Amino acid sequence: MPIFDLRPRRMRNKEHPDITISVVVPLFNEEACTPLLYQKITAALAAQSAPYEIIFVDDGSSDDTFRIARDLAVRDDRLRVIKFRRNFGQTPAMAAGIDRARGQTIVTMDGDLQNDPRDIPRLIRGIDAGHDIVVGWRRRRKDKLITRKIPSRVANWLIGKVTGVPIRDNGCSLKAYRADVIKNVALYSEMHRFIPAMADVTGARVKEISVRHHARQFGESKYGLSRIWKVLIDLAGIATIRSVSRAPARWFGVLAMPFMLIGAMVSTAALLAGAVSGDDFSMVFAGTGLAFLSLSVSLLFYGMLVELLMRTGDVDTRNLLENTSRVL
Amino acid sequence: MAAASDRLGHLKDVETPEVSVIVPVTERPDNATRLHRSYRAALDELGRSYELIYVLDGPFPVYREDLERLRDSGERFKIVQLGKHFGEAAAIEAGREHSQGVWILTLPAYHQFEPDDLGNMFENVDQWDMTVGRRYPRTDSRINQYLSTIFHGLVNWMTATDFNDLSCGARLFRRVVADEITLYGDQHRFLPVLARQRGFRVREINVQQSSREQFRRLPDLGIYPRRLLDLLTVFFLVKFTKKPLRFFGLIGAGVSAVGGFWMLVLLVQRLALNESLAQRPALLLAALLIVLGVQIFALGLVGEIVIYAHARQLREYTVEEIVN
Repeated sequence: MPIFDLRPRRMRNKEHPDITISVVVPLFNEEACTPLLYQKITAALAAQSAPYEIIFVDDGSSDDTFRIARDLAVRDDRLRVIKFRRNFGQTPAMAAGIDRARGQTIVTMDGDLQNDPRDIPRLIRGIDAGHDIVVGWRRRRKDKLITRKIPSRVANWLIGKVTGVPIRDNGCSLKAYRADVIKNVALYSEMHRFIPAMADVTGARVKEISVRHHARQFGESKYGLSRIWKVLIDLAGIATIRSVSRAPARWFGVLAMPFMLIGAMVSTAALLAGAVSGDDFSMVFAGTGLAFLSLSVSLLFYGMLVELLMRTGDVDTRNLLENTSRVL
Repeated sequence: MAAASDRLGHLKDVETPEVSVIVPVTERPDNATRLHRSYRAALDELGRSYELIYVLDGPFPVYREDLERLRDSGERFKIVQLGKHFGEAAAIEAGREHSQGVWILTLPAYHQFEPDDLGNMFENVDQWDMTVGRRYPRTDSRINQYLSTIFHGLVNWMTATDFNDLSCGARLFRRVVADEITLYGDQHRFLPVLARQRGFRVREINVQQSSREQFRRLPDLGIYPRRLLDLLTVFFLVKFTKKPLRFFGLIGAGVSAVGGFWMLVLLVQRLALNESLAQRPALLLAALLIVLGVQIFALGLVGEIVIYAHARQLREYTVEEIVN
């Protein structure tokens, strides 16, 4: 099965032409939540006239999550369950669900019932109204202030500043996407937090609506303060990837510039000083200058290498353009 | 083993064998006839249908003659001849392409362990995705044992696993394991590590070390540097494949920070304390540290772009089962 189905939508849904909505939920050790979650999602979508599917992705749970989900799926063929071999993390779990989703609108949410499935129809309405991504905003968040809310505020502000996509709540998993858009966004590592920022490169129309949020009823929160460091590094990575991928050779050129200037200045100064004073030529200064010069030259070549990588890779700008542009 | 043979007896006459046995013939193989006879006897004991494939990794004229003579005398096995020396992992891969069994068993082309112990490896085999042999107790030289302990200590520390004998050539695994993990060169020995990382269940089973091994295995010191490099590769593959910037970025940033700080100190010394710089190599060293750090960081960026540009072909998860 190809990871990304690049066939036109009408061909892709041939096997299941009627499914229009896919709800993707990663589950990790959520045995207490799973049945209730299933009930709430089906109840929330009962009023929906369009046929839908629910995809539970069991991210290598060590408890009974998979067995419970499988029993539910046996009785309801709208529910699919994907079981991972081991725990791979939330982003791969979402990616697996999204890869296999057959609907034209894909909704993702957390499996811990802190998101409210009753908000799903509102998100779908946003997509129907012409947005490519609708992001939930947990306006009244029911979490611990110090360890969860304040770091999240700071992180969101930073993410907005760095990526230029000011979203108040990137950490909220409750989001809806047009399938054509999300299936074309690179999803790996811990990227799910940055999907709007990644999709923004493609010109996606992002909308934010406030959603309900509940305190945790069952189980333990799987997040702590330790992830901040990772978020920061990933953020730096994404910001760089975004700007590098736009014009790689130019980006590395700009990076090489200061080193080239310093190198040229230092080595010229050393040479001039040597020429003026005759025998008092400083090997150390000349060497330092040349080291910086060589660095700048190799950075320029890195730029060309990346240019080549972008051209041979599968990030096809034309495909993205086609998916997000519309004739008015 | 009797129960297993009863249960699987009906499979014996079916075309597709249950186990594909692959013997990669690389560096310094032992006498083919004797090796084949001992493997053959042990495999027949298992009571499972099997096929046997010898892969010649490069020109082994004598060995090939021996094998062909064996085949002429009525023994049944396949011989795959590779065009040149590609390494053991590639040889196993080539053998796999010519095999059909659900299980793949690789065996070393020299007397490394007593083949009679193969039966142990097949006990409760269905509950595991991969079973690797562990030569225990060891009977080879003390130096070898110490080096091996150090090597495995490093591997286990770096990859957070607990293997004791990755060099044992007896590895039994489901075909899916090989389908999901591509290896080359000498990395076959890290297959258990990578398999566990992909979420497969891997176990070690003790096998008796062959008494012949200690006579033939001369300590080859060149092997250890090569192993260390392989180890670094695997460490990178296990930990940072999807996040090269975390690996390169941290190292690069650290190295440049040291260089930058040193350069600052030197500038302060020059400007405030009026110490001469021109006749000392300190400035050059600090500059080179900065250069090295920036280079490593830039390499991490290039790696990150490789991942980004090919993200659609990379899948970091493995699916065990899909319901509906």
